[in-house]
Amino acid sequence: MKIIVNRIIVKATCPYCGCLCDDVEVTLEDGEIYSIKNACPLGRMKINSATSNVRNLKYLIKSGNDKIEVTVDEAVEETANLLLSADKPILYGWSNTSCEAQRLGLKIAKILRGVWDNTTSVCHGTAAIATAESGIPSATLGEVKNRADLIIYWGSNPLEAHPRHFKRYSYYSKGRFVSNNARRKMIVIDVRETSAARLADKFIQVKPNSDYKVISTLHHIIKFGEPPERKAAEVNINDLMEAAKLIKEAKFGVVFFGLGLTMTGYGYCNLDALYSLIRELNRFSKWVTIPMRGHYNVTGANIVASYMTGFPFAVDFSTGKPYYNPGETTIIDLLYHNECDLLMSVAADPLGTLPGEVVSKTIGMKIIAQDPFPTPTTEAADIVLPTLICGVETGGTAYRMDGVPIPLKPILKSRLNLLSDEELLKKILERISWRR
Amino acid sequence: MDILIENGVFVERIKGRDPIVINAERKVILPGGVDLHSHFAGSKVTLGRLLRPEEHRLRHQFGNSGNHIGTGWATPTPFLCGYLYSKLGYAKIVEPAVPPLKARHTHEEMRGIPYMDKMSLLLLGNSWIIMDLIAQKRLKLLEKYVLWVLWASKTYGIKLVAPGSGEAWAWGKSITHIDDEIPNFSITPKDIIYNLARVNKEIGLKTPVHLHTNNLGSPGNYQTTIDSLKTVENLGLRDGDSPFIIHLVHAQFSSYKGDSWKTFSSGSEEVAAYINSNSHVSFDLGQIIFSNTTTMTADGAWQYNLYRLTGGKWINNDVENETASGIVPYTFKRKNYVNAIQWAVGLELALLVKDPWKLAVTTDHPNGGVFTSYPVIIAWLMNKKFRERTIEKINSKAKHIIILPSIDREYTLFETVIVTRSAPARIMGVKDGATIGIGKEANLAIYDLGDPERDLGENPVKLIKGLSSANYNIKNGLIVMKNGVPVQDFNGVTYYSGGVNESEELTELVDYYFKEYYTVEKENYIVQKGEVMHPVNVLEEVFK
Repeated sequence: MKIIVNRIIVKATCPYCGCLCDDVEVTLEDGEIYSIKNACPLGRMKINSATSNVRNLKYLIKSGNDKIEVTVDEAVEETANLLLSADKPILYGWSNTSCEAQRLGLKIAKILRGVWDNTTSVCHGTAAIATAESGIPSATLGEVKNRADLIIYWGSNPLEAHPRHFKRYSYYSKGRFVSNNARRKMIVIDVRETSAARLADKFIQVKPNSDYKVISTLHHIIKFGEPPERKAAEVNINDLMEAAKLIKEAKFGVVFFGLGLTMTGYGYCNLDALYSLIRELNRFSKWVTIPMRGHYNVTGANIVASYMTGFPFAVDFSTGKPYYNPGETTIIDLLYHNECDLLMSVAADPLGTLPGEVVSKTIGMKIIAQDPFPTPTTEAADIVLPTLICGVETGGTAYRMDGVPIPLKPILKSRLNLLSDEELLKKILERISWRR
Repeated sequence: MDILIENGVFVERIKGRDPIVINAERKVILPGGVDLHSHFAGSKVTLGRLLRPEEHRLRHQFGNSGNHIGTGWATPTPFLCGYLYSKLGYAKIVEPAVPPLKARHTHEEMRGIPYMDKMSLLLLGNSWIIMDLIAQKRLKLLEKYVLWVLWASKTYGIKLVAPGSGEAWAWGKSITHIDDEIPNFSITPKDIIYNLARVNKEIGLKTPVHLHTNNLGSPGNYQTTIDSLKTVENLGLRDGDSPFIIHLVHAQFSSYKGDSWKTFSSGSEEVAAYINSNSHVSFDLGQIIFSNTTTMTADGAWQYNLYRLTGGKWINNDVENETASGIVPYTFKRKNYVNAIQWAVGLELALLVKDPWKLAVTTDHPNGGVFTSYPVIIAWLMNKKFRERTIEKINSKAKHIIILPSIDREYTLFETVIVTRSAPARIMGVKDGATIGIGKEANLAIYDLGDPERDLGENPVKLIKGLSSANYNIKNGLIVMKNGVPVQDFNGVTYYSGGVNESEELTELVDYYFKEYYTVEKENYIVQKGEVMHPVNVLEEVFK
């Protein structure tokens, strides 16, 4: 007996982390995923989630203590009702969806005189603030691949969080002027000995929340050749002296920084200090710094918000015009001070990720949750809007951690009869515009 | 006299009934303006926004009605950009610096700019593929590649920014002489300028190569500029509307004498003399306006110098295998010696070059100042007294060494129309879009500039006010703006060039670079037509 199988290979852009690997190949057999090539375990999991049973399948509206199933049009109508009757809604999330959806979200927030914030607020927002403070010397990842002879990871562990970063863009990649990793050196700076640290030429362990002092001390050593007189940082000075030597020998250096710098003590000052160090290093040779962005399109969220409104996140439209003041218009501060009466979450899970004190303030607030997967937020929501998985079941545009735009592709046709984020938001925008 | 428009074009008689009638008696009717050099969309503009939230707090020039969002000064949001240009009476604008890898970003923003037709220029002056092909003397393949990469990025023409210097800057170095060898590539900036100007002519692009010279911004650079222009002298002229072989962008920034900031002086006479005696060069001004702005260019090394001079904010963003870029906020001050001379150099160039068809008014927005300042430049060109009033206020040392006070020429209104409409349209190869003639695209701006019987240059305040806000802007026969208020939504077309050449050699070449050096797949590098607002290819799509 001969079994005929209908197998095709589709190219995919992985919608998991900020690496946005676009060389993934998925083999489909009769429309189902047969195998996945070139993806890391995280990406594989995301792509496979299309066939998972753990999905939001139905449009739900809360009625008493239960949620009842409704049609898409009823759900859109009810969403518009809640949004229009809210005094100051906040639309939050946006990092796990396409730029097209992000743009629509901004337009909805604008019409409603609400707030549009994204997950940058609780991850790399401080890096955006520091960029506004002093600017950032940066480059695309290919510059690192082709030129970098010294790579520093600071407060990030790529092997766990961005598994293909090493191979595609940095330490293990091959480039024009650096043919293999024997010609690259790596320094890892972290609070614990991570898996990446074990591969490094130099690992420097720092005390939690001491990064600002360590950067400043390193800056001093590089500028004056010796550590500052008063020992500021609780770090092994010999380690820093050795690192400074490697740094000064490099022809092209890069610092990749993660949440270990952006969300620890001293906040944006860490980045301000880092950028200042990088500027100093450009007097000797070429140095750049690139953020290790988490969600696959969090960079896109910042770019879209920047060109639409002038501000990268935390955009408050309550005066009718865009206003931005992190610490005031960011989700944590708004919720904590009870300033918003409605939370709409799109492709994010604020109730599962924000601090408990803030989450407790959402009790009594109206919540709308748009997400392909069940989360604590969809659990608590008054309206649940299921969608297709962006980058797996639908396409769009996303920006990689270095600001390179890459198309997202629908890998397979969903078995679920749902809309994409973009299509659903378009319906909501139309409904709101028409009702106003 | 009546001007009749139907179905988007000028016609001899109207067939339909009940046409809209506009009484433009005693008004000035001009073709829609053409800005051939303005950084209004894409990666670096958005980085400029990120660098300067303060700028977006300052200005809310637009009413922000409905879901339209408008903020910003040097880097207005796309909607505000289209609105401001339309208010100014413009119809076509050119984004002059697109890194191929980020072309998708530029198109994403350009889609949000209403009213305008858009074109964009592709940064090819530091491209590895191009430098390698020149070094290997594979010049036929170079032609095919240029066509392919223009097609892939859906851009219109070639831009060279400090050729070779961007590659040097990738190592933290710069190139100051066009005969110096580019690190790791056995060619010179001169080779790039010559070969791409030649390719440009061969493949019949509609606009010449746009050149941002090496050493831009530095004292003594006028010699580099003239040397660069001489490089392509023997290529002859191009066929078609735009005969020029090279377009010198923001010439003001490339026309300085002196050997330090202390001895800095104007090189406008030498550059203008060269342009007057040669027919292969067109240029735009890059006039500076005394104000604060956000400078942004692919000339990364220069931006680093500017950062070191100002000690302020600095963004650098190099793009793999293709280009450098940098962003630095800057304030041009009247009392600053160098700034005062820069201001004079731009106007001197405009007044010393005899043929207005060779030049276009620009500020290199936002580098020299914002595009909404164009009416002020027109007033300076039309009125010597108005120039003198500004000269009185500038740095006193500069006042005595510039030649501007000795120039008596005043532009006629007709000449200002050439340098803001006809000449830039001709240089860009879209002449028909800026001509009032039967069958031509109906793009019109109607201004109230006072009594047309009198010399309009006489009253610069009235002139500036009138030119700053058109009574009507008519785009493709539709009234899109009336007295500064949008009348209806309209999206213009996006012109692009290039084509796919069915060549194994080309496929092999491009595939190699993507496999070895790029960090994206080739198929994701190509911008699809569906990602572009109303795409129009001005060349053949497929070559055999």
